[in-house]
Amino acid sequence: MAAPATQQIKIRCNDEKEFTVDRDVLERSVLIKNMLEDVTEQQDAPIPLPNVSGPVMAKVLEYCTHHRGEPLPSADTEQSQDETRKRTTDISEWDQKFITVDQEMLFEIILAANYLDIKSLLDVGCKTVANMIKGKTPEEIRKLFNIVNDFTPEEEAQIKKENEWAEDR
Amino acid sequence: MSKVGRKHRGALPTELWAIIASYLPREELCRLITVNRALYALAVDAKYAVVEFGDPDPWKFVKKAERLRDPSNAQRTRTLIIHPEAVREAVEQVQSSQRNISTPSPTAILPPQSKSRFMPAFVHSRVSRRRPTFEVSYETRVVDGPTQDLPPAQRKELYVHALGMMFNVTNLEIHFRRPVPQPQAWGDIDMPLHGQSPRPYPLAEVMDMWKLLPLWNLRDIALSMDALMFIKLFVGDTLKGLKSLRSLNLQLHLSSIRDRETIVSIGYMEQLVLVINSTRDSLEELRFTAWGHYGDLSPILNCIHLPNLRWLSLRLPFDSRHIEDTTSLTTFLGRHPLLTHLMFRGVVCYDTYHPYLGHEVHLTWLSQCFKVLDRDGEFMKFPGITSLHIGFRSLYGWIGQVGHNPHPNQATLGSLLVDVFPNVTDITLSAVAFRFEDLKEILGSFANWGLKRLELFAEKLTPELVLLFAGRCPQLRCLVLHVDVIFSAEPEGRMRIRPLDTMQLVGIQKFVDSMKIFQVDNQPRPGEVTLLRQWCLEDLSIVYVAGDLGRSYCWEAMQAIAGCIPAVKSFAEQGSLRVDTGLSPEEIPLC
Repeated sequence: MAAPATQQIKIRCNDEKEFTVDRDVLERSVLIKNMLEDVTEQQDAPIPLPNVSGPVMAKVLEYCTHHRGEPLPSADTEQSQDETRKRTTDISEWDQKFITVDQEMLFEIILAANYLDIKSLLDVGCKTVANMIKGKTPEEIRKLFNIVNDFTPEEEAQIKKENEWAEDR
Repeated sequence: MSKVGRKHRGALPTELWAIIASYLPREELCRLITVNRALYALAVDAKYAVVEFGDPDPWKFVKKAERLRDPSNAQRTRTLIIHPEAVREAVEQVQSSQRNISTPSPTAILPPQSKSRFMPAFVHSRVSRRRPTFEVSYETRVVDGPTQDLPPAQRKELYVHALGMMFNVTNLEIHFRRPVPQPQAWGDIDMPLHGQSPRPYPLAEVMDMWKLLPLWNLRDIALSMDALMFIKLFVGDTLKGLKSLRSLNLQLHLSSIRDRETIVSIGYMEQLVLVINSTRDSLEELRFTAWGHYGDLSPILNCIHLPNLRWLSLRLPFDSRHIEDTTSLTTFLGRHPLLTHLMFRGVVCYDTYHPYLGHEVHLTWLSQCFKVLDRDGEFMKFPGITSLHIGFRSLYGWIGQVGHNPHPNQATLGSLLVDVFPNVTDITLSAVAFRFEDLKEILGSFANWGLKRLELFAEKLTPELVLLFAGRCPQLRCLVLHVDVIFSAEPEGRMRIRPLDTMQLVGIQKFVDSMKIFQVDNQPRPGEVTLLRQWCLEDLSIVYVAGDLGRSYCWEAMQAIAGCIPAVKSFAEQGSLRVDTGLSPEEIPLC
């Protein structure tokens, strides 16, 4: 039987920070939803989330609270989204404001969304990174994300030569 | 797990970069290739996953074919899309430019290997392990180095060679004819072919490529071609290439065959049965579209048996002449108990047939088909079907008198479908030009189904009607209402969109609350307002919105619509398009 919407759940992050949150907000996370469904008796002990820190969890909860009540993507809608997402990196206005954070926090949110299995948040994060990449040269991309170029100059020249066609599929 | 990026806790693993890459267009992906090794592997995978030979530019054509001669690139390809017309165009362009070139560069071509196999030895051995009996039995040359100066014949070899390297291809699309788009938001209208018939494609040019069919490990095929070519191509070894198919999408054009006797004499029907039955061990999804006059399909339905079939889509000019034996369809469905998805849609082919006929699934015919008695004297039922898609269009309505002279069976359509397909939970129905009274009757019948999703194309929808329907369907989770337009056929055969003056997007609070998804068709995203303008929606003068759509993306849709419809702009400027949800159905203006 479905739990009442007002049920409060405790979670504990890797920095011992604890949150008490409405169950329907937490169930935006498929990971936590499955954990709650697996527990038959109500437990007072907080759910440990060893891969998420308190500040990041606070942001994630802000997102989940805003989107509470919205349908979770089913397998069908995921498939259709997969088809359409290739052509759009649009992000809603609220989500854009929400994800306007420094890069370290952005990456932490993406990792947390991946760990907690919150697909919509993961998409927002990945779209944001994709938008940051657009229009930038390889050197700018390296600088932006602090990526080390591990190609030799000869390899790089060869790769450039080999990958000239990009105009169509 | 390897990570890419800065060396702090937030560095992203490669699997997440793969998701990020999926949002990038191809030119951006190519820039990622030179960033570092981890992104190189990821971007190259994405770049070669789908390869399309569709550009007639000879330079691009050659460069692409050259790159795909490298097996490490070619084996990344899973989906291959070929437009033979474009390939021929590329080769022809080279041919014309060659008139000014005395001889190819001597460095461009290595000495021909006499009687060499088409495949390099390692590829051939790999293929041989999978299909030991297969051999490509023609000669070719090995080309290397810069190939811009190659003569056309060798360019074609290069192209075929590249195709032969793609032994991981599972999805293949070949468009000998202009592909027919899948049904989109505008109902059961298919785009006309008038004036767009390409030149007949010489069979000899296709055969080299066609011999490769058994080499690929194909799971999905989509083909668009003339019926005559279809008959000649699928013979011998090529049929072996269909044995593992999961999905077959055949779009056949019969515009060159006008009379029924010819269709019979050339063996078209037998060929269809042969090809489809070649897939019988694995096929789960069959989509068949036939354009033009092609004769009676009943014998084919009687001869096909696909034990794993789950999805059947027929797009034909349905009427009694095309499935004369009305029991053949029901017996076909009876023989395929795993079938869950069924789609009937009419097609129109402007260049071959009466321009209006074919848009409707003929209601009388459909009634005859499904009013078939079983051994116990009961009407046959198909409880396995859970998803139904039927495209109707009133012939009389189409001709212009919308709503006049309705088909006598319109009103009983709903009860017929509910009787025959009792377990449908998902229906897409195009009922354009149906009378309001008939639509009301149909939706009333649908309320007896356990529908979870309804998609409806019908310009006679009113808030009142949807309210009545939705109120009786507590299990409804998804409602897609198509804003209607009327397509007018102009003398030259082109389509023109003439919108109605009223658009009705309807949602009632009490069922919006219970819906997991509420979707209003053609919801524009912010960037798609331009597209809306192309659809002429600025002519709309009234938008009815009943209920609070503001919590979902529909709100954005309404804002975007408001931005390009002068008549409702004032609502948007006041910050709301919402109509008081307390409106009773009587107060909501009906069209």
